[in-house]
Amino acid sequence: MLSFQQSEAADEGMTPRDIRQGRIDTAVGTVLAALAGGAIVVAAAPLFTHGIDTSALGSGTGFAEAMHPVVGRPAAALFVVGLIEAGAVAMLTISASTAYAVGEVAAGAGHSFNPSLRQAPAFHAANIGLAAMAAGIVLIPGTPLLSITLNANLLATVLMPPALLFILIMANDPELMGARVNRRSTNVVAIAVAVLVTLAGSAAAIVAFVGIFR
Amino acid sequence: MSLDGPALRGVGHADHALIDGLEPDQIMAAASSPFGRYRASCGMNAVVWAVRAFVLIIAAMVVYTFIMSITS
Repeated sequence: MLSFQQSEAADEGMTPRDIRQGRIDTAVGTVLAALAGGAIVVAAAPLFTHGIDTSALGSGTGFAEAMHPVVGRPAAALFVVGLIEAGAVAMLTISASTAYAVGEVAAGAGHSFNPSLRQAPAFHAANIGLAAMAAGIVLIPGTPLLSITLNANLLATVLMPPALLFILIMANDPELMGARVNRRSTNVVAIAVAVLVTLAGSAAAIVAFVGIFR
Repeated sequence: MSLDGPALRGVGHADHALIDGLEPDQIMAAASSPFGRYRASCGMNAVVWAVRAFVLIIAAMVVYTFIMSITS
């Protein structure tokens, strides 16, 4: 999401005059994402209070099917709609950020959605190809979707500290940022968030790793 | 710990006043001037190496956990 947001801001041609709008956009998106995440946790909580073994549920739809007799059809259907929406957003952002990454490392591949398919075939192929590949993997019978989802998110969390560190370095570079260089108070919050993400990722990875040997 | 590198790196001194006044297509050209290589302090180098070690060790654990979960 970090790389998607910076690439998307550049692709839209945002300028320093758009920083306020960008901050509002980011704040609204952050609150909505946190609300959605919290809502999923709350929605799935009845499974645990009813003693349902969630490790036996293969994927998100397995959770919805298990919730059906516990919370009723409307709530389970709402849960499924939320999962579909979250999946659609994730597919769009991850495939787009992959295409942006290809555009940054491959000269001439293009790094914007503005050029047509013919003008930037490699860029669009990376975007569409990744989404198609993910869809293909999901459709393979017996694919361990829950394990893939959990471990992919865990790996993304583990890989986040370097990205946060580099962003902090750049945001504190007066030559690069000019008058918009990070304030001390911003650094305190940013470092606290980076440390928290690092600790949370480490804890989840270590618990999962140790769990193999039990 | 200071996050600042040395104040100047020799090339690519951005004219922020100019950049603020440019249109989106002009800003792309103005902002694309290369900056010199970042020279980290000793403390920052230690942090970067610590993050490298963290990523290698923890990522290996995650990958191993994933492989074991799909093969068992």
